[in-house]
Amino acid sequence: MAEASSSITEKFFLTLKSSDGDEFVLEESIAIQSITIKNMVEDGCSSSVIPLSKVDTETLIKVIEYMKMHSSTSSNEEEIENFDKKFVSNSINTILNILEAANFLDINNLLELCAEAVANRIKNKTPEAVRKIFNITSDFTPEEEAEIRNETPWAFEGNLDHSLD
Amino acid sequence: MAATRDNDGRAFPEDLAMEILLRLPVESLLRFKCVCKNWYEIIKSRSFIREHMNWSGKNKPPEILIYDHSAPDDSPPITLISISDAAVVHENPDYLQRFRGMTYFLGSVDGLFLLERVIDGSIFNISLAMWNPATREVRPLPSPEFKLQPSFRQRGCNFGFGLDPTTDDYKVVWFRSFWDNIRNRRVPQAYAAVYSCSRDSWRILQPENHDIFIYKYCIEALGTAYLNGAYYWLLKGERCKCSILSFDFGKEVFVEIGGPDAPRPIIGG
Repeated sequence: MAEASSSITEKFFLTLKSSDGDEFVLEESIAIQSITIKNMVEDGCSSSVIPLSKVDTETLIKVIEYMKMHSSTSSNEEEIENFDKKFVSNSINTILNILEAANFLDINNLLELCAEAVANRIKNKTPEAVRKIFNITSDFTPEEEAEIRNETPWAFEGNLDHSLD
Repeated sequence: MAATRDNDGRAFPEDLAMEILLRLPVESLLRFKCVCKNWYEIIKSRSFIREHMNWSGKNKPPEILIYDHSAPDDSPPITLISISDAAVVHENPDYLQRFRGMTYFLGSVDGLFLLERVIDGSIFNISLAMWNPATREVRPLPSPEFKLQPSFRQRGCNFGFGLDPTTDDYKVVWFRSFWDNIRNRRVPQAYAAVYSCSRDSWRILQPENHDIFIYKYCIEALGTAYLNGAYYWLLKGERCKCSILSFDFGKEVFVEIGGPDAPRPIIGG
């Protein structure tokens, strides 16, 4: 835990452990963009390794990449914007995993970025594609579904996107 | 049924699905109602609808709907303009153009529009409808049971359209005054009614206080406004007096607020 007397230039490091058991060392100032981690640091439970049982390695790498870019004082607005644009071009499944991680780690701007990205990617999709992406099984009978479609048939017209990404 | 995804079959948290749904356009939401019962319930719920509206209001560029009721037959009467940082976009989607038959746009609140159609200028043949361009829903309003005589000619007519924040219900208030052609005098009473969306019916408002402005001189308003659950009209009265009348959508009562003196005598009324 940071002492009040410590010099400003001194860097503190935290070790984050993914659900796959991989460990990542990260500067504390970068890691505390996550409110969950910040609270742990403040409660003094960060002396050893911080286990993130809900975040797998692939996702944690992405989250750390994001936090590094967004905390770095050297990156300007344009760089961050370009980074974000590229970041959300990951597969939908990856973004959904990051979204869940951002929710667990309480990183609000990452959560918003991912939610916005998923919304943009699925807005023109068919209900069938959306079900597959979220792995949802429809619990409507064919008759019930037809009835809902008939309420607003125009919402099902046009060039809908069947792809799963 | 719970939403599950990924190889390990974990449920995708409902509050996160909400975060995504909040950011979708209305058209997508109407399509995704049929994804599963859970999404259907979320998308149809009043709390989600209000949250989605508030979120869009804060984060989406505003849109302006222009209705030109003197537009020639071959040109569209309705134009949608969306204003974003980059550009002003004009759209004339086909579905917006079916309201050629409506005579007036009476007001709007939260993206809902109140429309009026007058047939042959008759005081009996007035139909009202509420229109939500985002969902493309049109709700025709029933007719209030005003007890009118064939000898009546309308002198003044005012509408107010707004939200009753106490019950989250959209309401329309309508008051009218008439001239009696047979007796050749003003009908000594105004007719007022309030429509509620949740009741889907009109309630005739009986004057509790006959001194109140509308029941004496109900004529066209000089200006109107809706704010925080109440509607306001600036009305001109006899001689040089103006008065502000308000209608509280929650309590469903008129209240008269003293108005400013008009700068010069107002003719007519």
